[in-house]
Amino acid sequence: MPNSPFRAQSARSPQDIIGGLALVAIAVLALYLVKDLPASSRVGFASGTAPRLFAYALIALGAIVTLGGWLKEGPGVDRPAIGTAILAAFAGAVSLVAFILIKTSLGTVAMVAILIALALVSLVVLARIDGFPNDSRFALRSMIAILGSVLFFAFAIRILGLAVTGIPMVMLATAAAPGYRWKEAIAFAIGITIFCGLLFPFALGQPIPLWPTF
Amino acid sequence: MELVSNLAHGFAVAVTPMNILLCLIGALVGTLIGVLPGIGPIATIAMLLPITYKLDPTGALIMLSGIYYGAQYGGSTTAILVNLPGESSSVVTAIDGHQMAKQGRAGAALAIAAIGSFIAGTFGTILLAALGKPLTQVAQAFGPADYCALMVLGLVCAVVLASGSVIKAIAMIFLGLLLSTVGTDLETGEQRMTLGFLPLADGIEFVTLAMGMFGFAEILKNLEQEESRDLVDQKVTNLMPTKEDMKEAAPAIARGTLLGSVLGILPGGGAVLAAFGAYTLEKKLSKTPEKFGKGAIAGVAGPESANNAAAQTSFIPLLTLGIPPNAVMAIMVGAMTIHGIVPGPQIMTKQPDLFWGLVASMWLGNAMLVIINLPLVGLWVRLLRVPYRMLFPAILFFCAIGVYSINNQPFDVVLTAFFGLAGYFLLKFGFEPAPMLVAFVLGKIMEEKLRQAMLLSRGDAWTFLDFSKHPISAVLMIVSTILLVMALLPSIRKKRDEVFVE
Amino acid sequence: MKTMKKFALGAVLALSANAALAQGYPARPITMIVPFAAGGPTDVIARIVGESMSKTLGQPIIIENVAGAGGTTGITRAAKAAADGYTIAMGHMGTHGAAAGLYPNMGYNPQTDFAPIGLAAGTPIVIVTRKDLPVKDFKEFAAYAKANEKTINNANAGNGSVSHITCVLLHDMLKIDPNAIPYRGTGPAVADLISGKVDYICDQIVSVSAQISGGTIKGLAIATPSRSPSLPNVPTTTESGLPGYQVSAWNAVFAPKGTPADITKKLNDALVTAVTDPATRKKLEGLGGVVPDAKGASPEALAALVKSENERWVPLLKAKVKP
Repeated sequence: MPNSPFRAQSARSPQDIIGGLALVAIAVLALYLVKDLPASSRVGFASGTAPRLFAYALIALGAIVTLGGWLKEGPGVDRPAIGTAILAAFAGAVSLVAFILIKTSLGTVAMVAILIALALVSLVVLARIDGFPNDSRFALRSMIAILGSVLFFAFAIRILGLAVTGIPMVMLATAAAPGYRWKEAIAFAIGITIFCGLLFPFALGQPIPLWPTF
Repeated sequence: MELVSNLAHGFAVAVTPMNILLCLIGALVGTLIGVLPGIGPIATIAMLLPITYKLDPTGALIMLSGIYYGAQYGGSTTAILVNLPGESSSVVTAIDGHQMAKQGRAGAALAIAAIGSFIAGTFGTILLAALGKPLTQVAQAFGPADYCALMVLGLVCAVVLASGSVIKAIAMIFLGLLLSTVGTDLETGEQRMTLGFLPLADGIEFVTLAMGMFGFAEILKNLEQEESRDLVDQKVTNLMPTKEDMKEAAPAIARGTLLGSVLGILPGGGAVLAAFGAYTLEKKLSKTPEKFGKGAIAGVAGPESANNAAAQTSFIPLLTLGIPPNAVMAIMVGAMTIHGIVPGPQIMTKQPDLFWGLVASMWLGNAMLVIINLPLVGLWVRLLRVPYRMLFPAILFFCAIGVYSINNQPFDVVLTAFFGLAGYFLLKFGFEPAPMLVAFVLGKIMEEKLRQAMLLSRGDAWTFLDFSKHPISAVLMIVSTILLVMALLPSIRKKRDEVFVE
Repeated sequence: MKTMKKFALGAVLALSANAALAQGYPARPITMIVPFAAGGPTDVIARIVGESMSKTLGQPIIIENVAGAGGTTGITRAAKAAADGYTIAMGHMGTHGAAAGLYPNMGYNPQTDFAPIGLAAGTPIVIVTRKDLPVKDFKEFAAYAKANEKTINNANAGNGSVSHITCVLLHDMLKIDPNAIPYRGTGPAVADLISGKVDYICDQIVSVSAQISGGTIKGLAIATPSRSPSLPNVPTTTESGLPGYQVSAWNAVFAPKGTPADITKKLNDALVTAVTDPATRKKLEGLGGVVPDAKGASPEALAALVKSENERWVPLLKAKVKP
C-alpha cells in the first residue's frame, strides 16, 4: 500500500489532519479577536503585532501538520478523541453565540458555568443519538463528572462555602470512575471535605469561605 | 578570610533555637504547600505574614524563605507522583519524573530530586555568600534586548522538550506564545483577546493553564480505561536510586547546578529558563536521548538541581540590590517593610545579621529538607497505592481550592476546567503540552522585553544584533539561530528520507 | 402597588436586620479586599492598618488580595459585596481617583458606590533619575528633558500604574511628550534605572527611598508640601519651582454603599485609633508614608478627596492616555 503513488491522495493520519485544522481554527479566532488592535506603531511593535505574528505562524504550522497528515501514514483518531473534538467545538460554538446574545448582568462565572453545563447536557442528548460513537459514551461520562464537579465548585464556593461545596463536588467527581459505590463516595467526600476545611482556612489561613454566606 | 568570618557570624545568628525552629517550620509548611497542587508559596506567604509581625525581622525572613525553597522541593513531589506541576520549573520535572513513577520508580525519582536539590542548594548558597556583589553586576549588564534574546534562545531549546514530532512541538510553542498575549497590553492598556471578561484582563494565570493541561487532562486520559486501575502500572521497585541511577544522575546534577546558579541571578525569567535549559542540555549530551520523555533519570536530576540552584541564587538581586526578582520575593520585601526594613543596596552592610543569618539558614533549611524528604519518599510512594478512583477526586478538589486561592477568583477555576478539556484534546491528537507551557511563560517576558528594546532603540530592529550596543543579545541571537538549524535539520532530513522510502 | 408594598416591607426588614446587625458588629472576621498583589505598598499599608483595626474591633481582619486590571477587579467585588460591614476594601488613588479615566467599562462608580470610611496613609511621589544623568536638581532636569524630549526615556510600571499616571501629569505640566517604556511592575523598572538603561521614573517613595539613600539612583524632587523625614535631602517640588505638582498615592478604607451608619462609624473609629496610635504611625511613617490626623481620616475628608482626585485625573487621562 505505501508504495502506491496514488495512496497519497487519501487521508492517512486523521489525527494530524484534525489537530492541524484545530490549530488553524484557533489562530483564525485569535486574528478575529485582535482585528481592532493596531498591527504596528512608530517603533514597529504595537499591541496587535505579537498576537498577529504568533497567529500567522500557527496557521502556517497548522497547515504543515494537516498536510503532513495527508501525506504520511500516522495514527488514527480513537472514539473518545472524536467525542472531545465534538465537545470542544460544540462548547466553543455555544459559548460564543450565547456570549454575543446574553452579554447581560449575569456574573461572568455564572454565565460561563451555565454555558459549559448546557454544552455538556446537550452532549448527553447527542450521545444517545444513533450513529454517535458508542464507546465515547464512557469518556463523556467521566468528562461530564470531572468538568461538572469543577464547574460546580467554581460556581458554589463563594456562595455556599467550602464545607457545603466540597461534599457534592467530590461525590460528583467520583462518578467519573466506572462502578459507583454510594457509601464509599459519601464517606470519602465527607472525610476529604473535613480535611480540607481544616487545612486551608485554618492551618494555612487562606481567605476561603468555609460556611454559606447568605 | 572575610567570607569565613561572615559565614560564622551568619551561623551564629541562624542556629539560635528559635531561628532553627522557624527554619524548620518554614521548610515543613513549604513542603506541604508545595505538595498540595495549585496552592503556591505566594498565597501562603501572604497569609502567614501576620504571624511574622511578632517575630524579629531575621526570624521572619528565615521562615518565609524556608517556605519558598520548601515549596520548590514539595512541588517536584506532586509533579513526579501525579503529573501536576505547580509552577513553571516543575513542568520539566513532570515529563520524565511522572514516567518514572508510572514504571514503579517513583522512589528513585523523588530521592534523586531531593539529593540533587540539596547539592544544588548548597552550591547556590555558597555562591550567593561568596560572589553576591560581582554576580549582581552580571545581572545588571542584561538589558531588555539581551533578555529578549535570552528568551528566544529559551524558545529554541523548548523544541527539545518534545519527544514526538518536531513540527508539532513548534506549533505548540506558538500556541503557548499566542496564549501568553491574552490580557491587557502593558504599554497601551488595550484589552487583547479577553472577550470582555474582566478576570482575563491580567492574562491567563500560569497555574490554571498548567493544572488544566497537565492535571485535569491526565485524569481524563487515565479514566478512559473501562477498568478501574491504579496509577502505577508496575510493581514499585526500590525506594532509593540504584548505583546505576546515581552514576547516570551525578553528572546531570553537577551540570544542572552550574546552569541553574548562573541563570537564577537574572531577575524575571532566569529561574524559569534554568530547569528546562538543564533538560535540553542533558538530552543533547545523553548517549540515549531517545529515553528522554520515557523516564530518564538524568531528565529529573538535571532540571531539579538547576531549579533549586536558581531558587537560591535568585535571592542575589534581592539581597544585594533590594530588588525583588519575582512575586515571592516581592512579598518578602513587603515583609521586610512591615518590619521597618526597606531593602536597598545597603542591606548587606546595614543589616549584616539579617543578610548572613539568612544565608546561613538557607543552607540549614536545605539540609533539613533533604532530611525531611528522604524518609517521606516511602510515604509518598505508598500514596500511589491509594486506589485511583479515590485519588483523582481528591486531586480535583485540591486543585480547585488551590487555583481558587491564587486570586480568590472562581473564574480561574472555570478556566482550569476549560484548559483540562483542551489539554485532553491535545493529548488525543498527539500534541505535547510541555513546550506550550514553557513558551507561555517565556512569551510574556519576551514580548515585554522586545517592546522595551524597540522603544529604547526607537524602532530599530537591528538593535538585537548590534555588537557595539548589545553584545550579549547579538551572541545569544546567533547561538539561537545555530541551534534552531541544528534542531530542524535532522527532522527535515528524516522527512526527505521518508519521502524517498515511499 | 404590590411591588411598592413588597419594596416597603423589604426596606423595613432590611433596616431592622441592619440595626440588629450593627449592635453585635463585628461578630465574625472582617474581610479587607486589597486590589493589588501581596507585598506591594498598598498591601503593606493595609496589613499594618488592618492589624491595629482588628485589635480595636476585637475580630480579625483578613486581607484578601484580589489583583487585576489596575485594582478595579478587587474594587468591583467590594462594591458588589453585601453592605454589612464584613467586606471592606483598601481603595487607592488609582482605583478611586484615576481608574474612571482609564477604564471606560469599569464595574463601579468611585464616588457613588461606596461609603467612605477614611484615609489610611499616602505615599508621596518622588521623581528619580539614573545616577549619571547630567542634571543636578529638578530645574536642570526640566530643562534637560525639554531639550532632549526625543531621546530621553521615562520608565513606568505599565499602563495605568501609579508611576505611569503621575508621570503623565508631570509631562503635562512640563509640556513634554517623551518616550515611555512600560515594565511589568516597579521592581524591573527600578532595576533598569539603576543600571542606567532608562533615564527617570516617577514612583512612590517606599519603592525608591532605600535606593536613593544607597546612592544607586538620584532623587530630584518629592511631590509633597514639606520634605519627607525618610529622605531629608530630597527637595520638594515647591522648592524646585513646580508647586502645582503635589501627588501622593493615597490609600483609604471604603465600605460598600448602604453599609449602616453605625457600622461605618465603628469602622472609622477603629481606623482613627489606628492612624493616631504612635506605634502604627511610626510603622507607616517608616515607609515614607504621610499619615492623616483624626480629622484627615474622617469619611467627609475622604469623600472630598475622592471627588477632587476624580476631577484632577479623569479629564487628564481621558485626554492623554488612549484606552
